[in-house]
Amino acid sequence: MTIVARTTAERLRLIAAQLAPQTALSSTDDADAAVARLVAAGVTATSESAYLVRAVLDGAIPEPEEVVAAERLWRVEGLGELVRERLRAARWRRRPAVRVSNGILVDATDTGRTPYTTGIQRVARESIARWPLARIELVCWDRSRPRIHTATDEERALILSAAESAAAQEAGHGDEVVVPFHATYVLPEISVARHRYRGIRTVARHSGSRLVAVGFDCIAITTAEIAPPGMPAAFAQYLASLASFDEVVAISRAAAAEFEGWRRMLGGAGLPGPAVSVAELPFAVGDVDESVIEATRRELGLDPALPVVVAVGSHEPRKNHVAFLHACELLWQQGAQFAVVMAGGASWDSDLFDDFVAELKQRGRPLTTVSRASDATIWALYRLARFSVFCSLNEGFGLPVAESLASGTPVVTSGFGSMRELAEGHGGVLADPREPRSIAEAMRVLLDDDAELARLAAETAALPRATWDDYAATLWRGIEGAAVSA
Amino acid sequence: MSPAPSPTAVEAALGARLRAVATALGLPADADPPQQLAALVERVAAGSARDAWLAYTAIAATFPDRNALAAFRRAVELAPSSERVAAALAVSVDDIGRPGRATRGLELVDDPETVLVDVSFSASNDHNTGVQRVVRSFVPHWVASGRPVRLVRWSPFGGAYVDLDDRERARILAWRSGVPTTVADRAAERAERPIVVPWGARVFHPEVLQQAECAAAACLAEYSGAKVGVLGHDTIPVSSADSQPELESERFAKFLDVVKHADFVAGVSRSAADEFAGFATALSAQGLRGPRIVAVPNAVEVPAEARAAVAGEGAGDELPIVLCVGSHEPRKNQEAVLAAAEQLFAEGVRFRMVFVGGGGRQQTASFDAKVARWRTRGMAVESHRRLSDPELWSLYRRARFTVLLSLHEGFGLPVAESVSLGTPVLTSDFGSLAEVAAAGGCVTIDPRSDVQIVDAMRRMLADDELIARLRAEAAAAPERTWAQFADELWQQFTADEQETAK
Repeated sequence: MTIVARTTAERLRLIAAQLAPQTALSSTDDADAAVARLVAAGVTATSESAYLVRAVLDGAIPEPEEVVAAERLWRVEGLGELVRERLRAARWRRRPAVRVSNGILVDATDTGRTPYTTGIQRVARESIARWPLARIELVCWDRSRPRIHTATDEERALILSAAESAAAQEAGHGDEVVVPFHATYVLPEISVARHRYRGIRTVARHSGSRLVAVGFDCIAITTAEIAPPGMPAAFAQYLASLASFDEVVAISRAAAAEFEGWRRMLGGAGLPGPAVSVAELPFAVGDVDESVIEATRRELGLDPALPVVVAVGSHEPRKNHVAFLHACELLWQQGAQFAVVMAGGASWDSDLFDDFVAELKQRGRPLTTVSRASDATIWALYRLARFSVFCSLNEGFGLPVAESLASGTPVVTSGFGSMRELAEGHGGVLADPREPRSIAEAMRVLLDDDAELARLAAETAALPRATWDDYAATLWRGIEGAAVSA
Repeated sequence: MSPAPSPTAVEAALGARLRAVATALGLPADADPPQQLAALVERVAAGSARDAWLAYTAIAATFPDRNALAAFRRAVELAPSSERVAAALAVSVDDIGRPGRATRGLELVDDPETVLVDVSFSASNDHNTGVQRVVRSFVPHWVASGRPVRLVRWSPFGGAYVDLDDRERARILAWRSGVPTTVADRAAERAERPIVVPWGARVFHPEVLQQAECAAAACLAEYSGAKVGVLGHDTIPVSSADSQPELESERFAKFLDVVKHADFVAGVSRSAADEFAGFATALSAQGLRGPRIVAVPNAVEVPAEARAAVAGEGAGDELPIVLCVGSHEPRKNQEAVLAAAEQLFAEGVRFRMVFVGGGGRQQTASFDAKVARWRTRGMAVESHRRLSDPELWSLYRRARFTVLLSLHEGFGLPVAESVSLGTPVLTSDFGSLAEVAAAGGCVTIDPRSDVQIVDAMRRMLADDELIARLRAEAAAAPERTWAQFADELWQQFTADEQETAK
């Protein structure tokens, strides 16, 4: 039975049900009487009990420091003083309904707010859809307040398909506050919103829950020089919350290496950090038939006589598109004949890239940019390309490498990290992304040598392919294991 | 605003800079400047990133960052050969066009034994805590013992190293003998100095760089061929970001770009070294090996006057003093110490709790209010924001023990100083604090556990035998001088056991 508490008496009963389940509070008990019963039942000040009292009475997730202060107040001056302080503080506030959950909470806040599919949102949606929906509670943080609520119909519609939504637990209305306590908390996203990462930090440190996160990468710290301004600091705050998680499931071995390195950095703070495991991301390309491929070729006005080189990725410094174009121009100047199609949206700091593209087009180079491409167009591009190039400076996974190879199309990619893991022995040619000449040399081979190209295309068949079913099942085992041992 | 330099002066300075780098790049030293420029640009077109780094530095009188270097190489490589010089100049004009740069001279430091020590902040500021104290303690030993060091700072005009002027040197080498005023410096800093360019020499960073300098310093570490060393104080701004202002985290993440391409990091404790080793491990994801990492623990030298103060006064029959020294911020955990003191007071334990340390009003206001409230309840507790050194040393002497229960430290100087003065310490049971404590004179506990703090303080207040034993341990703890630290650091940095492959 779900207990939802709105009045003070109801909230105190909610607290009692968690801290002293054998002690029934009477509905006639006032706050002092309820406190007396709790104390008589042997309830003492711990960080968990102080968190619960504050979160339930406030109807919000407190700051980590506030929990510590509450615990001290309780220990020195008694539970009654803490309860009176919270009731005074809440006197003028609207009081939302509060529910304490010991279940499996899946935090899909960003996914519930955006219709776009970034790599992260794809992971969240594909995984959640494959979990036993009757056993999880989809939750989101409020937009600006430190409160967790059951996902609303709107949020749910963005996270799940209609059929899945029907199978899931009842939707919330957004005004019911969920307080995780001895729960399992799953974060399949990254949180760099202040109230959310601070709230998650409190849940991780003080709610007695087990927490599992998907670890995408630590690029904002390990490659801060090419991260958007403000992102390294925000990401460091997210990591400070992740430090109290129990498990991080990294999306590649390279991402796991980043999280392991970060975990070791926590030693100075005396924190063990989460266990780091790996579940490699699945990827798939849809079937596109010859007519779609031809239509794409026509739409983009591609000369059928020229081999096409495809580069997919948003326009931001980390993707290193300028070095790729530098390599292309070196080859064009040497008389190489090929057309380039670049698919990806503007991200940040793309002025240099835009200027370079304009300059090359002015010189008459066969260069086409596609800013909003559907999945089908991307897949068609891989199919019509002689090869693709993806020489990013750092990736947690490197989906364009995987998708190119899954299309049977060889790829020139960076000789390290997840890109190397995907490409080596599976139809990839490795280059040094920091040296345009190295990229150009690799491209030269694939442009000139048909036999080598064919050999690499044949190698792509050896690419190991996990499915979303496998991936979701692996994560679920981790989550369930956590739930069982909590 | 000073008037723009004349075109002749700009040309003459460029010519002089080209001559200064010609030999290093194997170009004719006596050719006229246009020929030298053309030869230099051809060298860039041939593709060596290292040569391009020096060529850019000579032309622009500025160390390039990665974007500038890539743009320079791209412009030169992709221009038709007849237009390469124009392309090279066009790309570098943004940098050379900035105030103060166009007429700079250039001195190449190509002696592989020489270490350029980047002491920018300590040389140009009168601030003297943490990192500056370390710099002003060991760098003078390097200079005095005749090590081939050259003290440099980022030019006030930005973009490259220059030598220190006399005032700046004094701030590093003779800190005690009087502090020059900042105001007088402004004029001195107007004077333009030749830029100092490492070419096969070493560079050492004992300070965390300012954010504006990180990109060029990282590019230097990656491309100039200089062997770059870093003194690793801690990684707190990214590994304990919850305790830091976001600007600090942002700046430190940019500084990690320098660390990433450095050859060597010396952690000021084993714990600090291990944090940097963790960062280095993470670099495998981007194909980098990261720096060689060693631990060179900080020294602890308490001033003679402190020892004198300690030896001089006799103990009175006042309440036992518990002393907590450190800047006031959440990471230092003073709130927990105060909470423990309150609880002990409530239990009837009587002692004098003394907090010493500055902090922002926002941090201290509620703490000081709490202290005032407990004083009215009869508890002997005080919080000093400013205290003279003699007063502080006297407190150390009279204290029964000190408390430093920080949640994260790179070294933990107050613990080491307290032990060095013979006063027992209650400190944290992990990281650098536990390392310092292992030398003796300390009790260690989990600083996140209020219960452990209360228990340990109660015991240290009650148990005279324990205190006597800790005092004896502290007295026997080995000394470590800054001269030792300086020698060890030098040896570690200059002994490349193997070529560090980047």
